[in-house]
Amino acid sequence: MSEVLPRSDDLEATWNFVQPGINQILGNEHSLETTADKRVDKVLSPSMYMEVYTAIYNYCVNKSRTTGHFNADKPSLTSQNQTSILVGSEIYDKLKRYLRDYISNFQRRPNETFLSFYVRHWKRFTIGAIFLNHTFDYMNRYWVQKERSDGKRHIFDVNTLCLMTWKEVMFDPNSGMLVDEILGQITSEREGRVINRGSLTTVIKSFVALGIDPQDLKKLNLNVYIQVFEKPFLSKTEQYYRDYSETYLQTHSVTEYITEAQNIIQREEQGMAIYWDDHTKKPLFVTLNEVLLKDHAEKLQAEFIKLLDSRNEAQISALYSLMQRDFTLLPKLASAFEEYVKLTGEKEVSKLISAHKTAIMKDSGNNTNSNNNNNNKKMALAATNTLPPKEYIKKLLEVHRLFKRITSNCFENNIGFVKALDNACRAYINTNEFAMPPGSSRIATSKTAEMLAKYSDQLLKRSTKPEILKDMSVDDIMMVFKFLIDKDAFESHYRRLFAKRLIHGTSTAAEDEETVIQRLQSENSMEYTGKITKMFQDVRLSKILEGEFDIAMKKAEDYSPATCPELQPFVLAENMWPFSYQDVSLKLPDELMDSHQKLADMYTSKHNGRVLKWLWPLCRGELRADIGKPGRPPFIFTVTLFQLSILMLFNRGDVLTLEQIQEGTNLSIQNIAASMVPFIKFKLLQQTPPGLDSLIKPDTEFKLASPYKALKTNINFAGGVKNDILSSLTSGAGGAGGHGGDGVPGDSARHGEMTEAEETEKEIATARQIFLEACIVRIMKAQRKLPHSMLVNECIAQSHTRFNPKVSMIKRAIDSLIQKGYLRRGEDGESYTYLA
Amino acid sequence: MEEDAIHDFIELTQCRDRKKAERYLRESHWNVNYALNDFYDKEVGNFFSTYKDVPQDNVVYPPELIHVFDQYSEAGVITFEGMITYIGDLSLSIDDLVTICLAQLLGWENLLAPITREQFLAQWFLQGCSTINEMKTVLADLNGKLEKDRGYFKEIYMYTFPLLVEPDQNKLDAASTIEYWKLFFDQEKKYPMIIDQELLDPWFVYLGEQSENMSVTEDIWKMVYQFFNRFRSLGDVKQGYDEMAAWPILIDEFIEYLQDTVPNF
Repeated sequence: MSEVLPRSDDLEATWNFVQPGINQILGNEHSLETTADKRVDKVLSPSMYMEVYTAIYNYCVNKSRTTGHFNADKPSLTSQNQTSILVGSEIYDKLKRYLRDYISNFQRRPNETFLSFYVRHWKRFTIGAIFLNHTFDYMNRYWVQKERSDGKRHIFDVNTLCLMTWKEVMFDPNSGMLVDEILGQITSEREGRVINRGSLTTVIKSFVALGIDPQDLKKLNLNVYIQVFEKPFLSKTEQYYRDYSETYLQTHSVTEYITEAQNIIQREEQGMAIYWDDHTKKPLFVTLNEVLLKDHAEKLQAEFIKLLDSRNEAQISALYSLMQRDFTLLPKLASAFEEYVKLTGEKEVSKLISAHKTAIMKDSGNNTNSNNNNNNKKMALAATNTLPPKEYIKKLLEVHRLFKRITSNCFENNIGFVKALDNACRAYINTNEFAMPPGSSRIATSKTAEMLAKYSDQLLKRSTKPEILKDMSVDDIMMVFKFLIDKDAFESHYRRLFAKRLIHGTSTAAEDEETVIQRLQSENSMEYTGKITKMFQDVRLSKILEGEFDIAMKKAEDYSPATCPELQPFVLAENMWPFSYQDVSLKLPDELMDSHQKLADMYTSKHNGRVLKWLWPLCRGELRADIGKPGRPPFIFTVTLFQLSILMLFNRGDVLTLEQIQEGTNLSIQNIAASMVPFIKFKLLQQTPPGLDSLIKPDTEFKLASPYKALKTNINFAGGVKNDILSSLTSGAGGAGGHGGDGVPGDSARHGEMTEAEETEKEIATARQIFLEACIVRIMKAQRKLPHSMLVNECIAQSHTRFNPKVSMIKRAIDSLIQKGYLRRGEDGESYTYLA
Repeated sequence: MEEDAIHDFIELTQCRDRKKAERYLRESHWNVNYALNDFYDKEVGNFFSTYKDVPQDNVVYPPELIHVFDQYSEAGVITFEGMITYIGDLSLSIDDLVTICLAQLLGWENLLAPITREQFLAQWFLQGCSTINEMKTVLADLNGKLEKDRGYFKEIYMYTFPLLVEPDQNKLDAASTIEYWKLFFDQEKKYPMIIDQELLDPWFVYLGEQSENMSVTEDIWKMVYQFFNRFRSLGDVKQGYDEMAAWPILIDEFIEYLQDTVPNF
């Protein structure tokens, strides 16, 4: 094709000259069938390309010089004649017309789907368009640019013109059919058939390419893609999976569905992602969530509970990873989780109690009157009172540990689930069948506090059974403590037991005690452990005093081991310790008088102004009694101070009447009787006449067993003291009397326990009232005037580290402060003013 | 001319305060009629809020009034016992709310505080009374006011607590408080505060159960008024009572009591 170039000013000649080249660049229908892209290169030789290029160039350049001459008969272009020196519109129009004809002449082959017809031509056409663009480069650069910058936005560079023409002729009239075929293919793939993925990719990419903004050709524009493809695609997807999931669920279990949904999502979002533009990612994500998850949210949640029941972590994880795709689904799941954990905790405790009850029933060999209602009630009471703290605390922790693991393994420690777990634990740890038995009053404190204190006691007390301690730990205490609402109640119970450990010297080690105290302090506050710390200090100072006193006694001139018994004093700060001072009448045995006086003198001289009150009922002693058979080493009796005073009297004679004992000790009948019980039980003293009723008669005689026969050398009489022996004498004449002297202990011990618990309860209530009043005064002092609701909220905020105050408690405190004149209610009746 | 006007004004109004008389007259351009109108518009009903406003000097009390005072006084004051007799002679009973109106009128601040001569004479003189019969008329008027005027009813209610409470105490015992509550609220619609019997009956039953360890502070006394002022029936309480609001615990527990005892509450 090395013809002579046409005259540059002859449009027809020029066009006729370049048309075969253009034909070849775009490829004609017939050659396309067998040849690939390479053929274009072959046919379109460089020289031919150059000739076409030059012809167009010449035309544009020359025509520009002679402007007006040729166009005179075309009125539509007159405006151009006068102003423009660039020419191109005629050849542009010719090209445009040519392209339109060219594309509309495409022929579908028999049996060819429109899709493959489209793809086949598109591929070739787009390559041709690029080359064509190059051959019209000169026109593109000058004429087209000039036209566009003159505001003629319907004029495009040749490549764009090709695409626009394609869109107009090929795409727009057929897009519906085309998209239907595409969606059909996608459905086929979803149904598991193999499809030509390449053509699908190509056709969908063509939608993106056809998105041309006539105003700004460089701007990426997805209008065509979104309107023509994405929308129907999404609605098809939605429809497809809506039907699919419903059908699937009818024939499969929810568990299977979870796996299936995961697979679908995997396929749609990864396997099939090559088809679409990034833009579709988000709406597809939303659509899949909608039909696969949200529509079945209820079923999935119900399944969630089942999965939790089965503790199947893999499945729970799978469900979670599905659900977390839509954050709006998570709160419901988290609250279902919370409810589940709470219920599980409560159920586990109830199971523990009933198992414990059954065990007790068996132990007591009770198989006759299980239908006896009264008895059952007693058993229930016994069950709650004897439930070992360790079992209870361990059960609480077991539930927590289980769900904590699930939270971290399955829920990736998602904040919502961690919170749900915390809330649930707080709920079941503080409120369950044991902690708040049905029918407890609304302001009752949770028994968990008490149990945790007992657990701590077990851990910290020297024990004869070290194997029990094996799996107990301070961490356990802290874990439950964290969830405890009635922290003040725990402190109170803890202090009570701590005091006993200190006084009786039964702590495992001072360091262990300190560790717990420190951890409680860092978890809560300095103030929280204030009293406990002070108690600890008291004991330390008492040890020092003991040493000093010992040295002083031994230095004294009249020192002899016989007259100066060893003494272990405890000086305890009042109000810090859970002991209340009772004025008890007691005549101290002569043997102790001297030490008592000297100790008192020594202490008061050291700490001027401090008042010592003696807590006689808490004192204990060891007594050497050489009353065995001749030759046998002396017994060592552990006794209370009262018992000691009584026994010392028997140094004077083997037989004493109650009246004589009372005279010798100044003790009340009740204290004597209580002290006597273990002596009689262990046959150290013989009572005539026998029987509980005679125990308190003045002329009843007590005879010391001499020689005393006992297997052990060390005998503890202090443990058997029954302080309420008299009340059981007067009130329990029917029941207890029948059993005789030693049938009562179990019963009365429980009775004693109850009163102590009640006492603690009362102490806690008082402490709370004081705390709240102080809290209110503090707040009101700063604020002067405050509305009721704000005061209440502030109070709750300030006391939550100790306990959860009920509104009624706060109101009571407010009423009390109004009465005491600290506050005045405002005229509106809804606010308070602080009165200085 | 001005002197005459002042003289007339004082004579007609019994206003002893010359300066006040002058002021009213000056504001009315010395027209006695206008001044009188103005005076009665503004001052009637609360001539003087207490006897202390009455100028003490130059007052000549009618001998009949002094006679009444002397009849009940002892060493220059009327004590509680004297008052009892006096109240009896007025044909009133001590457990009659008009008695409290009387106490308020006389500025009797506390049952155990004596009433002074000045207090008694000046107060009655202001009311223009000299004899027991005249006093009875005034009290009958007050009784009528108590039955109609909500504001006055409240005033008398609020006045009752300080009057009854013992000087070194700040609370009333349950029994007498309940009696007075009955006087104020449980009176067959006699007084402007009409409370539904369905609400009132359980209230008194509840108080009866509480009475052992209950004592009533002025705060509670006031809040009970506010409570009944706002909630006149069970329905009101059911709808509008908010436990979280500032009601004292006594009332909160009353609501709990209602919840426990009244069916469908």
